[in-house]
This record gives sequence, structure tokens and C-alpha cells, in this order.
Amino acid sequence: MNEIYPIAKLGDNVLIINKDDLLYIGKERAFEVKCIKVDLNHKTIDSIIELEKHLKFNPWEEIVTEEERIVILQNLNTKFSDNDILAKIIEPLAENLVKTVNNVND
Amino acid sequence: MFETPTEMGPTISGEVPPELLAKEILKKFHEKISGRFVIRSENESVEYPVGDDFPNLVENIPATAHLGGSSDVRAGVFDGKVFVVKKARESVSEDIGKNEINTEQLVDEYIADRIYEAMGFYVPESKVYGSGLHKVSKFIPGKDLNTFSSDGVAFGKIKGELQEGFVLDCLLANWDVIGTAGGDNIRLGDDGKVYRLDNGGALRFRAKGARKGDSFGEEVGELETMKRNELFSDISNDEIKRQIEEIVAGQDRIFVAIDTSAKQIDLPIEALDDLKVIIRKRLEYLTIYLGKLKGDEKRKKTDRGSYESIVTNNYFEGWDELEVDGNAGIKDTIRNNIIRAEQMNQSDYERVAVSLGITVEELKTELQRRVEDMVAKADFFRATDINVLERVMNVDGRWMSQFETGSSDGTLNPRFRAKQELNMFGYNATEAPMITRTDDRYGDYGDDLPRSVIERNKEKRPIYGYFSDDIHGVINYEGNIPPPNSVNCYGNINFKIKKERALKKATITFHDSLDYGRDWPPTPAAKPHFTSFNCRYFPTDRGDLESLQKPSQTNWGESYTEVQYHGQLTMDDVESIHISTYNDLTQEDVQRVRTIFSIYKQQHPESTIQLIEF
Repeated sequence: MNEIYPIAKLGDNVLIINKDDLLYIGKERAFEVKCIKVDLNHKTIDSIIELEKHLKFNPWEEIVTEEERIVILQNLNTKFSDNDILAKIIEPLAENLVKTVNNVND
Repeated sequence: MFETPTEMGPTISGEVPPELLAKEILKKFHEKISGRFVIRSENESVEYPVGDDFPNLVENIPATAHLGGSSDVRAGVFDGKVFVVKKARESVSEDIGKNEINTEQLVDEYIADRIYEAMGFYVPESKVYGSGLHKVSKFIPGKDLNTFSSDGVAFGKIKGELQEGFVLDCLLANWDVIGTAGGDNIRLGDDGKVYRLDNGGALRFRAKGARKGDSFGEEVGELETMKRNELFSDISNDEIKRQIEEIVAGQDRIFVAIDTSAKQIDLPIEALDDLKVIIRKRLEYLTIYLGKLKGDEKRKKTDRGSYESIVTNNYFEGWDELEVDGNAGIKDTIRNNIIRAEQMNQSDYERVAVSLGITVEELKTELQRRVEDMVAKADFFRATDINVLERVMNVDGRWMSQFETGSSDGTLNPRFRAKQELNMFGYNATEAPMITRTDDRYGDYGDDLPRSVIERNKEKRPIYGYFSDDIHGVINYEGNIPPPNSVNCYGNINFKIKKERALKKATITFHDSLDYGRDWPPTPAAKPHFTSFNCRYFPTDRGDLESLQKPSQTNWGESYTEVQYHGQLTMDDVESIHISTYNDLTQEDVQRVRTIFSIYKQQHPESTIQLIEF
């Protein structure tokens, strides 16, 4: 729960989701999976948005190894404060996850 | 046509006041020049001496005042009178690949001028020197269209007279007849006549010198494309029919004008014949178009037929002739989706109609009118992320989708998008023969999508963009910038797509298609249907029908419009690239774009794509 998961990259941009949402990607409820785009170069964090919208618009590349994911998470920690990561990434994704879980249980 | 001089300005005598020496004339002239051409207030009137006789040599006109514009245009004085001197451009020869002087554009402009004259429209008197090296025109004292308030009487008069030449503008493919900045090519002369000042974008060349190529062909597509300009958008079909009939009846005058001007400028016989052939073909097209307009009116239906509304019954007239590039079966899928969506959303239309106090048919008619109007006035864009810019421009030459960079087994499972594109466009539908849609469950393919639906034709998957009536592709709640674009999270470099290409290969929605594409489906950009607009927004405190005015201002309940480009989107489709630090680009980003653009230009010296910073 509340584990953030870098899932795709495009140059200096990274898409991050809540790891618990992984199982919904590509499925019937895929549109409910939200993500946050982080620009590691410009040090900006976008608002939360549907993952599928980003995947539709741009040729994102999958982050396929755990090593790369760890490097990205380390980068996040050096580029942004703990407060920013908590307030702008972890919390919004967690709030979305709750909604998804509730929807699934409906 | 404009036989009667109006009372709107003093008559120019053409006489040079003896006390005005050339220096004084130019001094006065300079005082009135700001930017490109003469900018004057509406109530001001200053008399300028106007040239009567052209000098034998263009060198006799010392060009002293640079007038700017897209070519080398200068003002000069000869014999105490002001002339405007236009010099031929240098451009890259298609044959020898080297820079050469393009004399043909000024020749074309001269011929277009003479045709306008022959048909009763006003252009500056002019003379061509050196077989097209220079074109000298008499200076027209007056005020440009863009100096008038658009709600003023004078503006209305100029617009009205301008519109009288619409079909001739289309016939001559005078794409830049209006000019930039709201009309700097149209001038109300102090003699009360409305002048077409700069017809350098007529016939074979674009205003900036590039050849139109096949775009100046046998079809007068300008009757549709130029009508999207707001100065022409309200011309009635009756007026277009009248103008076509007048031009066709008076076509002899056009050919006499061509022959006469060709003789004056020693146009080679082959070039003369080519021009006459293409004009003749375009006149034939006008006749066909006239017949179509008359036929359309006869065919206009007043019943619903087998559809939900009269609007839709009329919409599908001519559907078979519509060209939509894209995957096999795309047109049939779109057609079925429109029919299904209108049926499925009937209760929403009824609810909105009741709340607005109108009938459902009236609502649909108004929605259709506004949807058509918004798409007609729009340009088409692709927001591009700086991280893929180099690849798009200098490596692949086209945009790719995530289907190409991902894998069907990866974490970025593309099944959802594949299913939506199957629903919306029938993409790879032949790979899903076992799955059939039921009438009451639109688009329900379930999760059991065959792998081949995802795997096949990846490189031709739709590429997504947006449409806006802002010249730089601005789109947001306010319709201006700042604030940044509402699509810049997907990319803040705005690629403007050539409209004629977009109209063939694009479909549109007024919302994100992945979310609502099932219920409010994409329809062709060349023939949008009102079901592409989600009327569940209405009525809300955020928007109503009146807010459906400009696609750049998404204040009707959505954050952006969407375009789906089919059959690949390539650099050949691009008209210009628009960047701004107001759109979340840093100065370093801007420099990076410039560098990538410069490399592109080195690789493609023939390219007419422009980088525009705003």
C-alpha cells in the first residue's frame, strides 16, 4: 500500500503510479488508473491524471528492470524534498487507489 | 462591381504639388509608416502624390523606405511620386539545388493583378521589370483593413466589398489575400475603393515564395478552405452561386487579361499555355461546384429518414464521397458509431432541450451548426514533448505511438487503448472476427481481445493531437496564453499540421476520446457530427451553448479538444512549429528546439516549415 512505482519514461520524464494499481492497467478499469508525471530535468511534478491519457499521447517506454526503477526513485529523492514527494506524489496516488478499490468492490 | 466611388475619402488628384520635393514626400511617408504598411487612424486623411508614369528603368526609383513584409518590398520616389518596389526572391531551385532568383512569383502576381482588374476589382497599377526581377506598383494612399474597428461601419463596407471577390480569390488561389495581422493586404484607398494590395500568394506560389505544387490544381478547394477565414465565413451559398455564374459568364475577360499581360512581360508560350489550362480546369470545377450547390439545396431533406433526426439525415448526404484516410473500415465504423451514439444519448438531448426551452431537433441543429463552425475555423495541432523532438524531426520523420515502443506483454498493457481504437475506428477489426457487438451494448469487446488486434499495424495507429483557432495552437479555459496550454502535459511544442492534410486524415472529438469516445464518438474533421460533442455538459454553471464559440477557449466543460490523425503523422504534414516560454518551455528548451530545427533544415533545405516563437 502506498508504494510508488515508476512505470514509464520518456527522456527526463517519468510516469509514476501506485504499485497496487498495476493489475488494472490495460483492463476494463484501466481508465481509472491515475499517474503523476515527473520531469527530473526541470524538477517539476504534474497534477494527477489518467495514465491511459499519457500512454495514448506519447511513445512512453516501459521501465523494465528493478535496477532502473531504484535509480529513478533515488533520483526523485535527490531532486525533490520528502514533503513534495509525499504531498504531490504519494498522497494523490493513494487517494486515487482508494477510489479504485472501492469501485472494484462495488 | 465597384463602379461608384464612395464618399469615404478624399479623391486623389494624381498631381504632384510642386512644392513637395521627393525628400519631403518620403519624410511624410515615413511618418505614416509603422511596421509593415501605413497605419493611420480612421479619421485622418493625408494626401500623397500618386505616380502616374512608370520609369523606364527600375533603378530610376531609389528604394529608400523598407516596408517589411515577407519579401523585399521598398518604397521609393520617381519624378516626385511614390512607388512600391517589390524584388524577386531568392529560393532554392528544385532542379539544380542551388539558390536562384525566382522571377516567376512576381510574374504570377502581375497576371493575377490584371485578372482582378479585368473582372472589376481594384489592385494597384503595376509594371514588371526584368521579366520578373522587380514589380513596381503605384502607392495606394489609404488605410489598411486591420486599422478599422471590426464593429465599425467602414469595416463592414470593406468586408462586404472584399467578399464580392471571394470566388475570384478562390479561382486564383489567392491564399494570402487578406494578409496577416487581420488584414494588411486589404486597403481602403482614400479614393473610396477597396484594393487587394498584395497578390503574391495567388496562382502557383505561396505568399512566402514556396510553390504550391499540387495544391494549385484542377479543384478549387479554396471554396471550402478560404471560407473558413472569418472575413469570408458568412458568405451565403446564394452569393457564391451568383459569383460563380458571373465569373463563368465573364471568363473571356480572364483569358484576355492573361494573354495581354503575358505579352507585356514576354511570358514563354509554354508557361502561358500551362496557366491557361489550369485556369480553364478550375473554371470547369466552378461550374461543377455550382451544380453541386444547386443540387444540395434540392436534396435538402425535411424528414428524419431512417435516422434519429433531420440533421443527421442531411448529414449523411454525400457521405459516400467523403474521403477519410485511415484503417480499413474506418468510415463504416464511424457511421455506425454516430447512429448508435445519437440513439443512445437521446435522453440527454431531450433533457438539455427542455432545459433550454427548445425542441430536440432545434438543439441538434444548433449543435451541428456550432460544431461545424468551430472545426471549420480551427487549425490542427500536435503537442510534442521536447524529449521526442529530435527523434520525430531528425530520425523517424514521424510520430510514433506507445504501441510501437511498448510490448503487449509489458506492464504498459495497451489492451485498453487497442479496444477503444477498435471501437472508435474499427482498427484491426478484421483480427477480431469472433467478437460481435450487440445493439444495446455499444463497444463491448470485453477483455478477451485477440493478441493480433494489438500486434498488427502498430506503426499506423492513430496519433493524437488537438484543434484550436489560435494561430499558435493555444488552448485553455481563457483561450489565451498565459496560462499555459491545457495539453502541455503531453508536450509544449505545438506542431501545426497543414490543414488540407488534416482534413483528409483526421477525426475529432470535443473531449478526450478514451474516456467518452464510446458514448460521444470521433467523427471526420472534414465532416464533423454533433455526436462528437458531449452534450451532458449542458446546461451547467460552467458553460452553455453560447460558450461553444472558439475551440481555443474550452469553457464549455472540457479542458481540451482532440484530434486523431490516421495513417501516420509525418513531418511532411507539418506547416509550422510554435514555441513559447509562456508555454512552460525554458530558455534552454527554446535553444534546444532551435538547434534541432536547424539540423532539420540542413537535412531538408527544401522544407517550408517555419519555427515560430511567440
